[in-house]
Amino acid sequence: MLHADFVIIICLIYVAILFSVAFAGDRKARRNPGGWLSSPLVYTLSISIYCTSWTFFGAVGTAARDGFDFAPIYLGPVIVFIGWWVFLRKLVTVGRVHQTTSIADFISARFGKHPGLGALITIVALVATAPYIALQLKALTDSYQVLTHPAGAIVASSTILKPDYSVAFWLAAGLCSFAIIFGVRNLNVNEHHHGVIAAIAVEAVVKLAALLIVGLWVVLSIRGVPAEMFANAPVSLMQPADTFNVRWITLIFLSGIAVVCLPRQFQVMVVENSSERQIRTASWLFPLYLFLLCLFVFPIAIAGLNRLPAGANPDLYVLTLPLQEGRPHLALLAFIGGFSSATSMVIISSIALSTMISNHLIVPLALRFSVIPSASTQSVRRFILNTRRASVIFIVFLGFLYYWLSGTSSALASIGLISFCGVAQFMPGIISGLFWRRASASGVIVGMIAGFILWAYTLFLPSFGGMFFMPLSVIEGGLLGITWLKPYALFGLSGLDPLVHAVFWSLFVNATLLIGISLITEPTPLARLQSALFVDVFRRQTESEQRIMRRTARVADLRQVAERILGPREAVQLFASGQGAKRTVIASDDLLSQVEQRLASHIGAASARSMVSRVVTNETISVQELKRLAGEAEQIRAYSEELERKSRQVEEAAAELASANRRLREIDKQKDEFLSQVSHEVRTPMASIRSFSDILLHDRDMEEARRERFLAIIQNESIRLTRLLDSILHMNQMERGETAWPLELLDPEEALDQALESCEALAHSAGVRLERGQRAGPVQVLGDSDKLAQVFINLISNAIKHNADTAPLVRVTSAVRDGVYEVRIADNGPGIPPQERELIFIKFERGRYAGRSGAGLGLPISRQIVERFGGSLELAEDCKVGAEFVVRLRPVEASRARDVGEDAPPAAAK
Amino acid sequence: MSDLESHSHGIRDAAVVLPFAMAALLLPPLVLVFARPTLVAGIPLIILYIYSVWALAVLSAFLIARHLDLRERARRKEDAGVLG
Repeated sequence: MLHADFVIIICLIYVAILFSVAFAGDRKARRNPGGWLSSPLVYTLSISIYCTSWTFFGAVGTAARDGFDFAPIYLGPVIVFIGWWVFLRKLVTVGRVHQTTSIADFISARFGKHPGLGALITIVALVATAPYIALQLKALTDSYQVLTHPAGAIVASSTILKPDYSVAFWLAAGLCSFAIIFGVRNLNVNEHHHGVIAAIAVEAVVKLAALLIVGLWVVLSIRGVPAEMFANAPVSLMQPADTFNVRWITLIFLSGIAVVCLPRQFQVMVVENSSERQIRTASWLFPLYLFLLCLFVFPIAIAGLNRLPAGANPDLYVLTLPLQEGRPHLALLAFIGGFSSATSMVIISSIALSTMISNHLIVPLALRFSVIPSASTQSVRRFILNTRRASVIFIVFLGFLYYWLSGTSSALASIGLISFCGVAQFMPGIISGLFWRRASASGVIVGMIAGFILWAYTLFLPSFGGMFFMPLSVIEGGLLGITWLKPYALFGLSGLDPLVHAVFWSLFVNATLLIGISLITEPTPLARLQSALFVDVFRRQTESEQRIMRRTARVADLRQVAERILGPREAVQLFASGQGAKRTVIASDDLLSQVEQRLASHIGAASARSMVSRVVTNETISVQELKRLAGEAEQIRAYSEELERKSRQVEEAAAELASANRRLREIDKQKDEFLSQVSHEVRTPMASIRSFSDILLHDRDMEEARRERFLAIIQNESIRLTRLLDSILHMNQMERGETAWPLELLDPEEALDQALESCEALAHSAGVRLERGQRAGPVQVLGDSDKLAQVFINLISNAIKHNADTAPLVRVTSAVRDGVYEVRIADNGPGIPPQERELIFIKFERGRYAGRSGAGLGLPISRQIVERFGGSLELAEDCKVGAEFVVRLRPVEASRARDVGEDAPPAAAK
Repeated sequence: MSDLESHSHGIRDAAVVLPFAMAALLLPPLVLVFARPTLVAGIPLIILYIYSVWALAVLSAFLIARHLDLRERARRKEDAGVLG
């Protein structure tokens, strides 16, 4: 046994430490709000208020009685947290963006800032939480009594103690003062309570450390092999198959919901959240915290079963086990751990609920009945703060009252899960609010009321065992004796665990009504706007409502409202930044929204709207804009896909255009060159014709012989000119595919012989040796023999003309190689530089090779002729000396020759 | 860039799948496979199983969060680079 005074002094010291932590946290937050107080670690530790004294002491108790039955309470939250990307991320982001103050504010803001919805949620939360607070008071009182019992803790825990209400009362009073001093000191923007959160984080560390130390001590003191230890384990652990039934599934499901919906969890998780980084870290750190907390549950439970007398209360093993083994300080540590978990839960619950009560019950009522004092700007703030302080006292003492009334009833033991089921009624509203655009306020309200009534009827009221409100006859026989109204077997659904039964009916009816009524009702314009803002939070964080809402209000009125809630200093700042230098009488939509938003972060969206609405003289919501907003989101996906497709097409088209443009530029350049070349070519003969004809005209007495010569020159030049123009014409016709020579079967060797004979004289006069190399045998191709001879003559004469070697040589060979007829005309002249290889085949581009005489049309025309015959003309790539031109033609097989001979070959028909 | 993006898609998919995978492992019928009166090193199999799943979930969530953290930091750096 520990002396009561000693325990009290230790508790007081501990509380003093918490006070100083909270005080330091508040001071630090005022100077630097972004410091370690907003770190993910502190955030995660604050979430651990999920583990109350019920779990601190109760987990071991449940494990000792029912094996794994304690685990789902932790596994549900673990699943929700590691799945943060799916749900929590959106919830927390919406809460942060819209500066939510509580779960009631969140849901009512989503459904058109509905004041009735906020009030309903507040009442449900209050009813569900008060017993939970009573449970904490009971756990604290019990553990204190057991620890300080004069007959020893083991005896105390084996008997039913008469609760010491004076202990409970002073505990409640102490908790109230802590919550009021640090939780309701000020009207905070966004309801951030840095000091309290710092203290809660310390308590989270203390309770984890306490349980870990007790657990380690138990494990280290184990004697013998594990198998012997488990000999005394509960049957459900050794034969575990029965544990994993519908109740197991329901508990995981329910605790996953509760970790979001409990007002205190919503407070620390969503309201106090300041960045996505926090929830990202909590996604693994909180499951880890729970893992560590549960790690030694079985060792402690089994050690308790093995070492303590049979009658000892398993719920207090954590405390009695160290006492049994003569370790009072360890027991005191365990007591402080339980103390931490109970106090942190009560403090945060009372703060969260007091905000809800003041924002959703008292302020709206005060506004409606005009009881808010308007004497000075300070008095409104003081009024709101006082209502919150009163609410904290009200909530904690409601819990105390509940504890006092229910007394020693064992009903308290299961009240944790009953609370879970009560707050779970918020879940359909939250999920539909975040993911379903059509969900309407009336659907949520009706669903929640039905769920709440069913919860009360099937779980909450029967849990009193006939002592309160619902008599035993109703529990056993059903309301008015109607059997299908039996609370534990509603509509004849019997054979289920009462908790499973209640969870099923309440949530099923809740969700069904929500969906059904939402489908048949039209949301108000404001609700539609809010639904778009919530559901599309990741897509549209910058879109503000002022574009859609058109309101007018006098600046003076608006300023008065702002000053009353925000205080003069903040209001002046707000109006100075919002208004700029302009002095206007009518407030802009922008300013109105800003003021409403700022008010909402203090007193909740519904109350803020109602306050601003009082000074607004005219309000319209642009239906057009709303429709656009609603339609837009659905269109976005289709639109973005379409956009991607289009942009791909545009990219392709742009690339095509660029290459076409490049080609056009080249062609344009070629055209210019072509024209200048043509002019040049035409100008030379024209100049000599003109000068000789001038001489002939002016000099009448010219000798006959000279005149003859001049006339001959004029004639020659005219012929040259005609030939030039003919070949240009010819080539253009060919390019446009207008010439249609009749193609016939011929032997190209004959055309080559003909060409060689024609060039014999030219070679001789130029002193070039014309060498006839190896020749192909008889072969048949499709073409025109005159044109083909012309091509050969052109190539051979070019080779002769441009050969500047001292021993000039032109060598002509032909062969059939790989089924292709091939003529090679090689010279030992200067050759053609690589960069001009293709240029020489372009009209008038004579290059250096062909640059000395002629119009530069020979090679382009030759190539076109050969291509018309389905062959090719190119420059051989690998000649070491001079240039070598290769003409290739496809021979026609004798059998096919007859059929094809009549028609033009495919290549000719382009 | 596309490589980075497809990788981050993979992380997001993993983040979505993780809670469902854990739920499947902890709910019947899968959990019943391990709910047998068998002792492993003197400890009931079911205890080892549930705590292992739990530890595995914490580890996976940690890896996913760290990847997303690194990605965000890289993106911020990229943004800062573009601006600077």
